[in-house]
Amino acid sequence: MESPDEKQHEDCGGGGGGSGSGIKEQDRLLPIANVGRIMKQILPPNGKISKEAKETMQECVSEFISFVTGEASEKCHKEKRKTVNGDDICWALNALGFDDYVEPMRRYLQKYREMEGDRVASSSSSSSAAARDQTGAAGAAPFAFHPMDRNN
Amino acid sequence: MDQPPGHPVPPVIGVGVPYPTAGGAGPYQAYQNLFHQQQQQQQQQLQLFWADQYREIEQTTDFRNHSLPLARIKKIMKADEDVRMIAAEAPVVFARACEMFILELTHRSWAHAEENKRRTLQKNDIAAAISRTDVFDFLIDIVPREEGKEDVAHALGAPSGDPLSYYYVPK
Repeated sequence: MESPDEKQHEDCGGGGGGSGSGIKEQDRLLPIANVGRIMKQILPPNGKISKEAKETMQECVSEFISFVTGEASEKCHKEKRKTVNGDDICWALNALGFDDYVEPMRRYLQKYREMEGDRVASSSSSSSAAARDQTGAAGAAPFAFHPMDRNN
Repeated sequence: MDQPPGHPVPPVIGVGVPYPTAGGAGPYQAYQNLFHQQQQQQQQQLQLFWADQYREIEQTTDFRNHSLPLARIKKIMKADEDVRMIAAEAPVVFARACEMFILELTHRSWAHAEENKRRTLQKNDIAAAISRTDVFDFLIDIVPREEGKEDVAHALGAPSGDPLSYYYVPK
């Protein structure tokens, strides 16, 4: 029943070619340039950021991803689902106390599904990719369980 | 204000506050009041921050370009052995959630830098923000304990940079 899911992500090798023995140090962190750029956005124009602060933030974000993913993954496991989806992440954010994140992220996810649904519908004849554990699109557009093609 | 919108500067505490030499609750109480005032202002700023975030998301139309690399996010997710399949939308959601996370943590950290009259964000500012925010408890191991401890005195009302703050450390 979950076979459409298998097409939904590629193993992308871009930017971080994996070694056989697990994740390389730099692969477990998001790039410092990206992280620093986002931090700068919220500071006043004359604000500066120490390199150590950026490195600390990198660690914090990776921890955030792991923390939320772990919770989402546990939910999937309990519900005997193999695929972690956007709803699971929103649920995990709520469960872990990130109250302020939940509504914005639910809205973001909804918009993403609407957009991507339109994109898929207009580029190919409709597929049967819609999954049962989704609540989103009220319209006819199928869900975006399509291979990821937007890697950096 | 000469700051761009969205970057109001809270008042600096500790400069020009008179220190009565008599005993009693005077300076301690004054610090506590100012600290609470500062906290209130930070709360208001954070509310504005979240309102901004929601508004930005409402206006989002580009779901292809992200400020963080999706492939790397996926790798971090997959580091968890229990994670098997990941829907395409999951790293997309995380990219935006991580952006909010970085913005929020930076915002809170910056408040600490300003309290200490600095214009450079340092690791100990992030440590302070983590120790002050319950939802960031999961990050406590990332920042050394020493850097969070200074806030014990601060929580009682003494600004960290204040040379007289040692008067207010509890027995």
